Amino acid sequence: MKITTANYEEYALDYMAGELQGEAYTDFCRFLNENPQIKNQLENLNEVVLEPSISSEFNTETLKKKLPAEGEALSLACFDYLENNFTRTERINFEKKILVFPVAKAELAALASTVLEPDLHLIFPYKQKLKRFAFPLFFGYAARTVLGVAAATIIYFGIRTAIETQNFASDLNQSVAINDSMLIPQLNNSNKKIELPYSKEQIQKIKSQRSSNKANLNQNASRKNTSTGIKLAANTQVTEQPTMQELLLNPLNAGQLLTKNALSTEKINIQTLAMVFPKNTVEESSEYKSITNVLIEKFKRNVLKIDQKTPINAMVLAESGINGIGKMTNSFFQLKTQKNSDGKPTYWAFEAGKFSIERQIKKNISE
Amino acid sequence: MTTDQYNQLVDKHADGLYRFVLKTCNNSDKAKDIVQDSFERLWQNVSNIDAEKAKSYLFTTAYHIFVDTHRKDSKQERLNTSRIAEPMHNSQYSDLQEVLHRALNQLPEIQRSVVLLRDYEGYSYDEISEITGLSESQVKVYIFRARVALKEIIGSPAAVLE
Repeated sequence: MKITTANYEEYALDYMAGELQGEAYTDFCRFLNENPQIKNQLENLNEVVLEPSISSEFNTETLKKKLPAEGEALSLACFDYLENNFTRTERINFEKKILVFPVAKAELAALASTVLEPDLHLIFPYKQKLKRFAFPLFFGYAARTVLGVAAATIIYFGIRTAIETQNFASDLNQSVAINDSMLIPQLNNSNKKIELPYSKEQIQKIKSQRSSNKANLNQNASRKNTSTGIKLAANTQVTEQPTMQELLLNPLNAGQLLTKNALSTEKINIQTLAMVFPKNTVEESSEYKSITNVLIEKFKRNVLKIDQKTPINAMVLAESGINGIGKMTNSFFQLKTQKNSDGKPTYWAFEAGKFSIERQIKKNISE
Repeated sequence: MTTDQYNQLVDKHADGLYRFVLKTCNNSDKAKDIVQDSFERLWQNVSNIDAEKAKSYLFTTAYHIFVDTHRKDSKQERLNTSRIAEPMHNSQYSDLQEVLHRALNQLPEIQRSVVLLRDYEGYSYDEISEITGLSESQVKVYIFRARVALKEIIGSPAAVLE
């Protein structure tokens, strides 16, 4: 056997463990004497042997199952007795054989004393807030739903009847005439006499003047601080149209709105005031249709929440009214309509929870 | 379940539910919120729940809300060095019950919950297991451990002097 640097590792561990014997041991010793650096290396290896740490040993006791100790078994028996976990026979046996011992009686009493008693004076303070109002029932429906349906029905037929019997269009196009009593309080400082209503010729003259003023407005924009600029500014103010609501509720206030800025200037253009409130003729009223249009647009957008192209008719008003009441009363009813390409309703369906009805609209509903 | 039945449940169980939640979480504001949430959920499902099962539904809901909120608040609670139980000055309690309820705060929450359900409401193991989601044997073990722990706590002089 020849031990060299190429195969000495096979014998090294046996040598270190003291298990190398006979010729192999002699040869390995000779090899180590011939190679002192390897001998040195093997001596150092003895120091890196890992030894188990006592402190890091896993406590196997925790895994072991223990038989219940005498005291614990007694506690468990007392617990089962207290909790009525025993059968009748077990209870009798427990009372005869266990409870005769004072230690068992003491344990039972100790466990019995751990039963918690609720503090009955501790009450929930907001009990009334938790309660719900009970709506009386009519034919199985809550009164809230029935009232909502009734209100929606009344609104639907009311609006429909009103639209069919009255011509709202003529009312909406009607202009409001202004008289001296409306304007005089505003014009006390003007020292000018007002003659209203103007004749047709006068109004035509005013119109042409305003057109001329408008045309020159951009050119004179830089001259706002001059008297001409002030006049133009006044003209610009009066072109703002009052809302129909303002005119209907209080024409004087509407006039004040329009003239407020104009009257505060040094030179008052009375003619422009007259243009705001012309005499009510067919010819002049056409100029103020824009007010109607603005109102209708706002009504469609804000109240009915429909597209501007959709015409206002009884069905649209009823749909908006019924669905609005449904939301307000938190009821589960709604009116739905199906429209054709022209935006006119062809089908309607009313839903109220378990109850629903749908009909085709054969009659053309007037706008 | 009708609205009248629901209102009767409020009269019948609101106090008991409040006591259970209050003793479980030791925070009256939180307990009030949990009771209100539980009844709100009951009302939302009023048409699907029988009046007979409503009590169990209330306690189950309240317990789960408590567990959820407790998990959310656990980070905050870890920052606190110790649980600050609300003072319990109640002349209606006997001395033993006062000591016992103080000792209750030293129990783990699950043990506290099951023993409260057992003692306050008289629920069976089966019902408690439904409410807490534990098995019946787990419920029994927790109640046993709680009783033994309470016995030891109230038996020690420190608990009485506290």
